[in-house]
Amino acid sequence: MNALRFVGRRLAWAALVVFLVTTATFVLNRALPSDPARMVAGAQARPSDVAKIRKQLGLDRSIAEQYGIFLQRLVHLGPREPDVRSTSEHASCGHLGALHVDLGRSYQQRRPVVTIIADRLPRTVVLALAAVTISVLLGVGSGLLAALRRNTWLDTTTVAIALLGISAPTFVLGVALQWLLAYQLRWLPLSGAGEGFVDGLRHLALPALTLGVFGAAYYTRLVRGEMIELLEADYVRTARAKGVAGWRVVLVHGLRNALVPIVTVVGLELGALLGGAVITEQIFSWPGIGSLAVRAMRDRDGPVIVGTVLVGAVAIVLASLVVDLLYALLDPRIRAR
Amino acid sequence: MDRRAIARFRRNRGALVGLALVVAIVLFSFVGPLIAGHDPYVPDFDRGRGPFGVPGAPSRVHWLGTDNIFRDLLVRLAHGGRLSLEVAFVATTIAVTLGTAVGIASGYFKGTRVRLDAIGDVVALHFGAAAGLAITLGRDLAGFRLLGFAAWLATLGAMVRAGSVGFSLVRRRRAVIATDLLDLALSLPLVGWVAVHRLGALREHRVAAAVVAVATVSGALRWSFEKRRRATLAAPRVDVDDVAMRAVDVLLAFPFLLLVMALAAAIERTSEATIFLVLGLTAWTGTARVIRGKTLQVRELEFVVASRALGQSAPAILLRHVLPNVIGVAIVLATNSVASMIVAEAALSFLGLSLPPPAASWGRMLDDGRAYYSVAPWLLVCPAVAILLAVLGFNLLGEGLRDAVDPKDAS
Repeated sequence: MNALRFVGRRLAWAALVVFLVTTATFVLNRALPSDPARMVAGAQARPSDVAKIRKQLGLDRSIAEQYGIFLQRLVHLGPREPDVRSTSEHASCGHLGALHVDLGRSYQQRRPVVTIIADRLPRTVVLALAAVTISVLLGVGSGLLAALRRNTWLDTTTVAIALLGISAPTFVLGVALQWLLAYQLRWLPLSGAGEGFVDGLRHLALPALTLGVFGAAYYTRLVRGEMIELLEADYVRTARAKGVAGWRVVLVHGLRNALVPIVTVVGLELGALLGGAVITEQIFSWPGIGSLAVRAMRDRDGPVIVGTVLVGAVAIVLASLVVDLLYALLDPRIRAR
Repeated sequence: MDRRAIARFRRNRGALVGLALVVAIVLFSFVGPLIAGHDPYVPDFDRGRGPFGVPGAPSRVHWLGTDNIFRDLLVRLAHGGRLSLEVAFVATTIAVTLGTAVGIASGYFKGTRVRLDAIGDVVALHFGAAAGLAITLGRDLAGFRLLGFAAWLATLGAMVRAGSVGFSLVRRRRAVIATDLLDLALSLPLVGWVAVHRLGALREHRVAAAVVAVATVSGALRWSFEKRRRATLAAPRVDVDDVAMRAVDVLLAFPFLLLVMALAAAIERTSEATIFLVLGLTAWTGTARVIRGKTLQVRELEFVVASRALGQSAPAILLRHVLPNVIGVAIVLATNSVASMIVAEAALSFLGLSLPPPAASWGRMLDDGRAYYSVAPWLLVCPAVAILLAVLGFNLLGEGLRDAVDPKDAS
């Protein structure tokens, strides 16, 4: 019962945050210093045409009205059949059954924002998952190793590399990896997404590695710090004294207890990455949400900016929601409270 | 920092390396341009041009070679460093000051429940004042559309206040009704005015000025009335700490880089001042959280409880007892924040959203250098190494400071 109430309250809070973020992005969109009607009409258009388009886009209404329409259109009910997309009322909607989501049309690409995002989201998800997998495997592994071989040359080297790793922003690391692996050694393609499975994997490697190595450096430091503290705990000494196998002590008594901070960071990183890895996608021309956002910002393409910021915010809110719920699963002490 | 902390710092080799790196970067960026013989904006077609018009390789004249239009790379690196450090220091100052203030207030006053309309007052005044400040800052920020955002938030504050005033009227506490009616009379017309008008078509500074004026007048009136009447406070109340931390939650839900980019895109003419503000005003949330946690510990310490029992005022306790005990943490956070601000500025300029050319900045130089992978790799290597060393230096320094201030974490 208590658990249900906790989940309920957490969900309500997440919904409120998403609503506030939505409102703020709408305001931000209004604050962009460009005239959408002019952008749609083109530089050569007559003033009367610009005015017509302004009316078509609803930009002649008051801001309160526009906000109302925006919210109403954002999530609404509509017909289930896909062929209604041709009708003008639901032309820019994406839909899940009868549930429609409408973020308007891009001023530059002249396509529904929902479609553009839906086209690019899978790429971003793939990249995020690949990057997090690399960083968890690499980071937890080397963190454990450093903690177990504490104060040896192995530990010192790992710590130094990890420090260098967190000091190399993705645009330094990414450009360096691109130069080395793609340009000098020609092992991997320079940029783009590739076609087919194998080619896609080869194109995925560099951006995933860039994000993965940066994350791995962070996890190494986290895991090492946590494990050093945990392995000195009384119950670990007791376990060792009772003759529990070495690996069991490390994994069950040690790592099991370090899971809460690790899961927190993994969850939040995944959330941040699902909203698009802006810089990395830009460097490797990866067609995901991040490079879409950069393009939209440069073009001052309001609806796309709102859409990408919204996707990012929803990803972060969902991730922190999932992390909060996982706490209860991972740590019985939290469940008891 | 006491003497033991300094001793710990001096024994820490990593921290000293960090300090040396930071000093070197600062000297290079601020003193370097003074003694350099080249102009960062003027191409050198005679001695700075390589064969077939490629950028000139490192030589005795141009120590690190020249960039794509034959300007001296070393001097431009130094100028880029100056921009980077200036942005990082100012943005960090804004972020850490704001974060520390919010963190201390939130932590110290946790459990104190204030009237909802007081929060409305704060929102209205704070954002109204921000809008006013942006107006008075003048030409540099002309076209700063964020004014509209500030005015909008100020209106939101006024609405919260109007709403809670209405609520207290329903509850019929007679003592409050007089002041609240007056307050309502002042703030409702404002809300109505903004709602009826098209905010989009309205001059932002007029809205902002009106909100500041109304909030000030009605706040002052209410304060004087209540002081005299010792009114029973009937409006709904909320925990200060809850409000502040939920606000931080909402801000943290924004993807940082996207938010910064969107703000940067919303500004017509990007200047150093706008970059300071955009970075500083979005990055304070982390500091606020950490400082709040530390303040929660400090406020339970015996000497703090004792001075509260002795009747010392809250501002005095905050200033004399709480602040000195969290300042160490704040300094550590600030050092790390400088590192992340250098990264943020470089990221913005890498994406072309920082200062427009011909201003030199590391991120843009790195981006420009990518076209010259084969003929002029130094265009890529130099800015990359500069960013790496600067960030590494501040990270090492921050880590050393943390170990010195808080030896528990040192391992």
